[in-house]
Amino acid sequence: MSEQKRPSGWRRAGRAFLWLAFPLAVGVLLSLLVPRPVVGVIYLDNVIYSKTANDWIAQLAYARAHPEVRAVALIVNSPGGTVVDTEAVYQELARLRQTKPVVASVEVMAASGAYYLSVGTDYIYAKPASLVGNIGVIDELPPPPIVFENIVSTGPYKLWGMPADTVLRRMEMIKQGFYQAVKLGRGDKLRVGPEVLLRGEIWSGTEALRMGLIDELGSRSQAIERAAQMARIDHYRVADLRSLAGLPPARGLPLLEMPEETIPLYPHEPGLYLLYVPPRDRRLP
Amino acid sequence: MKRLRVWIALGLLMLPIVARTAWFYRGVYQRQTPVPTPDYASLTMPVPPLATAQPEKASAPVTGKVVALDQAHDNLFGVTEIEALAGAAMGLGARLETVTYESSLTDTLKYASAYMVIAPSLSFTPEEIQQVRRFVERGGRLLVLADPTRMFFGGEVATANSLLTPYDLSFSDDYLYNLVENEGNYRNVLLRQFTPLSLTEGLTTVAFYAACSVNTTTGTPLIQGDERTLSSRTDTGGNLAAAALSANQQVLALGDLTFITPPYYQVADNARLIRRVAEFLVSGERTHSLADAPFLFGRPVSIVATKSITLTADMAEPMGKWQAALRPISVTLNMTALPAPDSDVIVLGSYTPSDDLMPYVMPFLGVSLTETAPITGVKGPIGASILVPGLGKVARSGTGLMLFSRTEKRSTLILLADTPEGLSKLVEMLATGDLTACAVQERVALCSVGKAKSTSAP
Repeated sequence: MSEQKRPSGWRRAGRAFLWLAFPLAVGVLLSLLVPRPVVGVIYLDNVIYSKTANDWIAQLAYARAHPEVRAVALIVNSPGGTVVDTEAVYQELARLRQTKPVVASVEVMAASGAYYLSVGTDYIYAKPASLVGNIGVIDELPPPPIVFENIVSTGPYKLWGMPADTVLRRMEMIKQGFYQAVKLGRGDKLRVGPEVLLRGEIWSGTEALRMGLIDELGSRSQAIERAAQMARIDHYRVADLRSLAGLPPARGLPLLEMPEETIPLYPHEPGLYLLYVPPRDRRLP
Repeated sequence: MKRLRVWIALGLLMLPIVARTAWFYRGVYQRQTPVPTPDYASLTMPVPPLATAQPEKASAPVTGKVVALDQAHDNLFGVTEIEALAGAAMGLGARLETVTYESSLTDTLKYASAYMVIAPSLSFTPEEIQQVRRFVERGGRLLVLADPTRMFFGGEVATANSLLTPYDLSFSDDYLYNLVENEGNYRNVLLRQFTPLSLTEGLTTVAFYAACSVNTTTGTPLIQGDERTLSSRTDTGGNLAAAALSANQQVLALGDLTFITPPYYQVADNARLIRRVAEFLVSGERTHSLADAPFLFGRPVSIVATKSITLTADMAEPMGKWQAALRPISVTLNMTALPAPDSDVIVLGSYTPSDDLMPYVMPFLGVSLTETAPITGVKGPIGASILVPGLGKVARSGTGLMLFSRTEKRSTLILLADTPEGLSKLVEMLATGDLTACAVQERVALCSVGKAKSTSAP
């Protein structure tokens, strides 16, 4: 009788499956819930203005909200742009960096507002001949207060926003904010003082490295690897955050996507646009 | 045994999860320090240094001083921009007169005490440069202002420098800047180094709003920046001058115009500097020569007719013209028997020596009114002659003589002719400033006032 009670081989195999293979299979299935980490890439490859800034902010917000995005690489190639839009992206970057590392890779140019954003990252790479710096602000003085027969307003500065002298001094204040951002971003690594930094000069990547404006000369892939290393991830996937965030592909050529109706008042002189205060900012209805 | 199986099952369940996690994740990213961002709320707008509140000492007003303002060289400024300087000069009693395309620089510089040139963009001709040089040689003050922000529209420092180089002054084609300490912007420099002169008296800090640097080796750098004030041309600095005075202290070069304009003239000691510049403009003492006719005098003039001449009605008209011409510079002409104290004097006489004429003629060494032997002209003998230094023997008939002297005490002009008509013609020439019929030297002019009367040989 006792022999009859002993389980057969099939039964033993079934039990073994139940206790070994089934948990393992379930474990394998459950393990698929552990997402493959993503290093999100944001291409900051245009003038910084309201439309581009909104796109980048959407991508930064996506990275912050999605846990599989463990790090972000900012691929920078921009001459800068408007003050408010630059500050808006900078603040979003700061929020993201509270939880995830961000590394910048300067391609051709990180000038002015683009450098402002670069110092808002954890580590900056550039190419030896990249253009880096151009710290400062450009503005245009309004005309002296005038009155018209057929255009009436409720105050002397309703039309232009502020006196010319105030514009100048406000610009200086914005510059101080920019300088603070550079000082805070670069910290002890900065090897030059304001008398050099605030000249508005643009330096090559090699010079920028010597001055402590960047951390290392290196490629885009190095920046991605560095971001992954800082996030302590491996076997990660690199993904364009624009497509992950569901944004339409960028139209036009980088640096040329400047719809006339959006920013018609950029200075037209040759050179860099810098961190620019467009006159329309002063003419709020 | 059953418990062991459960643990094994759980282990097997966790194994793929742990393995996958370990495959992808080497740890958890934890930021060590909060992300630093600028304290935007603490940023403030820089405010300009307040103007010095000390009251200015009242200066004695001047009279008859004219400051000529150049507007004939496409000058890149508006008259309203220099209201502060013009007002300061007028407050001192001077009158501002513009030299426009139509008016003649030559005429204006005859009576102006200062010539002010601001941001010229049209070149000065060699003749104009010569006129300005002669003007300065005779005590006139020259003020040249350049401004780098005006050159953008076509002005060049070379144009302003053409007036300044004879005095070892020149503007550089640059602008001064200071990134460390400035007046709201890097190109608005605060200047605190002053050479102690009347032009810089009472100045502590002036603010220049984009200024050219001024170069001089023999002159005096008046206002200089510190070692942090740099030139845009070289990005180096150290005692760069934004204003300089020529060695003869008659030519002032200022590298900025904006500090004169509202509202910037109210910043720091700018208003005080503007006043000093105005004092510089009106304090020049002109020395006139006959070429400056009719503006030979700077104060009231006594006209003394000597016994040697009888004044006729013909004299009234040219004398009236002369009075009218001198009115803008507040100089009056008064007929008197003897020169009034504190006045210049015009002496009218003939070649016939008289006791009241000779004291005036005597200082002109070499002039002899003693009748000499008749001389012979092209068409024969033309009568008696006189001796004039530099000109030699001169026929009295048909000629008029102007003798001009200037001493510390007074200026004296002696007009001599053979006849009252000849004397009237001399006055007419002086009143209109037309000395084309005269051989003019610095102090002596010999003029043709009519046809010489031929005389028969005895």
